[in-house]
Amino acid sequence: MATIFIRSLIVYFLIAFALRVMGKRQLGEMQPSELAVTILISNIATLPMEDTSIPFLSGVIPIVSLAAFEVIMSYCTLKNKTFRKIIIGSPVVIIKNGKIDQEKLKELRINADDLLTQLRCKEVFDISEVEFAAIETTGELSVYKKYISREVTAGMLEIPDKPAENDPQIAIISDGAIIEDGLALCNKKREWLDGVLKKENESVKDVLLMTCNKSENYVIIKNELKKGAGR
Amino acid sequence: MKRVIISICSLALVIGLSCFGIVYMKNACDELCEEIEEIEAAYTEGNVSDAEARIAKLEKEWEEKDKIISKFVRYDRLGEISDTVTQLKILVKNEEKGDFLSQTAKIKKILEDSWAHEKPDIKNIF
Repeated sequence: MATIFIRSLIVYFLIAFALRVMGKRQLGEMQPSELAVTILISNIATLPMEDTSIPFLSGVIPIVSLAAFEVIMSYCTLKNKTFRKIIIGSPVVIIKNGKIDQEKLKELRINADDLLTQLRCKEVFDISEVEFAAIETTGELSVYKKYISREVTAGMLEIPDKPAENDPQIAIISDGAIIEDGLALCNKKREWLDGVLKKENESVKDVLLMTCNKSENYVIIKNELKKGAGR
Repeated sequence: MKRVIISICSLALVIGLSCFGIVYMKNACDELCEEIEEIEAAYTEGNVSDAEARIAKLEKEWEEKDKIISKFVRYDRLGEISDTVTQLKILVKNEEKGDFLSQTAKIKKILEDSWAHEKPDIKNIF
């Protein structure tokens, strides 16, 4: 029993390390080869954990090999276009100039219902709104709407840009603790933060989350469990 | 690039371990088979004390090798070797020649099979 426990712990850290080495892509949209490796690793990992008669190395070696091989393959696909096309494939255009390419749909074994479902997921309920659509190598549908159907943007309305106001909000206090890196990203000093908190009649430990940008636009969310206060 | 280097190092380590496993297994099987043949020769020549001493040596050697082999080889019959080597001592004392030779042949067969099971040939790969 203790052997299984120790093996489980080692396998846990080994898989965490393997996924870390494989990179963040592994946790998001996966390419076919990445999906295959992830499934294989999860299956292999259970074998030496369950069966102590299997040498532990018999489980470790395939996990390490698959993770390492996946990283090397990713590197090769990054460097070589032909290799990338073989391993990852390329996107397939299924709607061009507003017209569905039925041949491509048949090749991809996607029926009209599947296409409509994917379009609805992209908030397209009328197929005539689509100028161009492609199935990406991850299997996701990318949609480019016709000009008339696109959402209005500031650029279309020729509204001048205000970069300072568009700065993203960065967390500077989280769970009652100051995030020094966040303050530095906002170009703010501790004195400014103390001043704001004093003005808002708050203390650091009573703040659940405080975000701010370079233009000194800030949001404070109080810790309701401590003070029972709102935003 | 850091990840690629880690991966290449990991693969190199795995390949190194695999090669070590193959070489160690081959050498261990050859050495033990040779040792058994010497025991058989000593016993058939009537040199029982020499045979006993060699069996004790074989037992010790197998214990040492088994510690390493069991780390990377899964072959259920390997466990039988320890039992059979223990039996050899009794068979030598009781002068049961037929049984003794059949047991030594059994150990050699297990060792040969375990090596055949481990070597990366077409049959094992596919």
